[in-house]
Amino acid sequence: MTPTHSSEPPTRAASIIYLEDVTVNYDGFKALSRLNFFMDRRELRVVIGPNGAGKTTLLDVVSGRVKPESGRVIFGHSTDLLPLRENQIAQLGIGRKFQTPSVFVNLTVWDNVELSLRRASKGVFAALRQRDAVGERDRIAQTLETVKLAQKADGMAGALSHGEKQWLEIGMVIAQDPELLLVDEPVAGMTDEETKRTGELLESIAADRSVLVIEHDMEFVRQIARTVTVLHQGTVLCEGPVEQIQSDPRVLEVYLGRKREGADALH
Amino acid sequence: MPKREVVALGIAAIVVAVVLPLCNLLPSGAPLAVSNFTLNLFGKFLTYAILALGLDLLWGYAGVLSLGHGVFFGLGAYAMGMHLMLEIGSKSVYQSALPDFMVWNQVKSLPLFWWPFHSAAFTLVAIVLVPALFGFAFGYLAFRSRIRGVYFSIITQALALSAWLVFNRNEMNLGGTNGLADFKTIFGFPLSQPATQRGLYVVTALTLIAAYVLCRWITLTRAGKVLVAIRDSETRVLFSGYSPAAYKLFVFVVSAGLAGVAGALYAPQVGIITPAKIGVLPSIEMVVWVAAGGRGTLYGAVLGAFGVNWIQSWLTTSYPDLWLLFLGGLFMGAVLFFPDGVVGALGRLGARARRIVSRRADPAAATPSVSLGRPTP
Repeated sequence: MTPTHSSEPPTRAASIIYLEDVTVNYDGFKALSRLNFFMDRRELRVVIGPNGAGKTTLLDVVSGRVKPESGRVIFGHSTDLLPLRENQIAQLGIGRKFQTPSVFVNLTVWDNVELSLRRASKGVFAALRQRDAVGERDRIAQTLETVKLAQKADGMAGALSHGEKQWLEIGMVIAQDPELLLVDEPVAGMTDEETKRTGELLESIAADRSVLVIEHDMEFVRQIARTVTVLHQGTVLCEGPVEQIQSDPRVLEVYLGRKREGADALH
Repeated sequence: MPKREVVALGIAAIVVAVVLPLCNLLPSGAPLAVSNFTLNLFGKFLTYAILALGLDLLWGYAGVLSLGHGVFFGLGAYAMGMHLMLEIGSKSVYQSALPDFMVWNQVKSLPLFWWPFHSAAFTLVAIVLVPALFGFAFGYLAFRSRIRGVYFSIITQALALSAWLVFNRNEMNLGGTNGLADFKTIFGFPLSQPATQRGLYVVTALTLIAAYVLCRWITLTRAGKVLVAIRDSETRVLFSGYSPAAYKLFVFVVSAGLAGVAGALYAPQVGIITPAKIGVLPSIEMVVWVAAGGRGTLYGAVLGAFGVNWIQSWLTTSYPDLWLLFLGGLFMGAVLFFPDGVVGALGRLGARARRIVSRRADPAAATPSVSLGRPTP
């Protein structure tokens, strides 16, 4: 990274997230290599790419789990994310849904959403003092309606099916009221019916927020995607509408390495 | 708090804090009379129960296993012990204003850090603050560095070992291996009097009740839910905007403070505190109480601390050879057969009994049971 970069303001005022020249180095393996990536507000973006392309690392960098070796990560207008911890980034308005469902199995479905709800302070003493007001309870109930888990609100989250846990986690991230949602392979292990409903859910969320989805399932990508970014070896290979991406020879080339199978994987 | 628990807590509180001391007032030989020895023994168990509550909050709720809580117990006990030593004044064997062991070790003047313990008020603050501040410093470094799981447990065990080594040294001016003992009075009341011991017992019982209410209150707040959430998925907690380190630190400090109070009530009732109560072994025994009673319930920890120690005191007097076998068996049983402790095992038994009863009462509702492993013809 050259010194002139840090003094410049972000070049795109409209972007929700802006990565510039980001390199992540895992003991010599460059998971991200001078990656440039940005997303507009209220955009639903899908990132695809072969294994090891750096998709999850991209989410790790934005959510603060991994600190890059060099580069800039700017959220919203001018918030530098690099010095912040994961919980601070979450409080700023970036929610993250993990690939394997990660919910609190020993708490009720309601409590799971209650803990995730956006609040001014999530410190210990606020959590000891505050009780949920009517408005907060309404928001929890509303979120549970959105992810179709209102009937199971009082049950333990551990008793939910795999698909329901995925929705609960999506609900928890929605309850955080984030401006940007990071979603890692939401439909892995879901039935066709569940996949379809998850797609609808993500599209409705994207109506008033930005959503960044990582996905392998090409059918699902076609269902939800407007713009697709293809990552390859830690950098952006190409970007564009889903039809264009599917017929791009470079994409076919990198997907599984051979043209014939690559074409199969994408169709 | 659920209504059933309030009722149970009320009954237990009346029995422990009122009925037992009253029975102690009965002349010996009368039916229901509780001897001074027994009351004193129960008082000791109650101090253990106070400690077990904090440990359960830490381990049973937040999932943080400390193998070093003997240290915080010891800090509270030594803080109280130092005050009791100074209260002896020149009525000691050597008739010096210095504690006997200092005379014996040829210490000429009272070390500076002993001075504040002349004050009863300072001591009462120190029994909570010294272990809590020490817990804060230790927990801050450990949790901020994201040391968790078994690594945290190992570090706390190392803490217990090093504290044991330090307290054993005569140069620390804390009585070395022999610790602090031969206390005469507490805040002016003679410790040899049954009335004083009875008073100490009642104070311990009331402290236990207060500690229970405090811990239950914490578990019922949103902070309590965050603790359970940390046990389930620390990563999700972090990405939900909470700092797991701050919550773990909070509960670690609370449990350290409770352990300190427990130690401070232990010292005058047992009459001695030595480094043997601080090290690795007593710290692990404390964990066994909570595991045997049942984690994550609070009352399981209280019952475990009381039950295990009662059995210990009975076995070590009646069948001294059996105690270690029993402790080992308890540990294995808790791991293999009842991981959720006696409380959890009883709960499951009760649920099974209710199912059988309801099936008898309403055979139509009975579902055919699936038998596994039966050889097919």
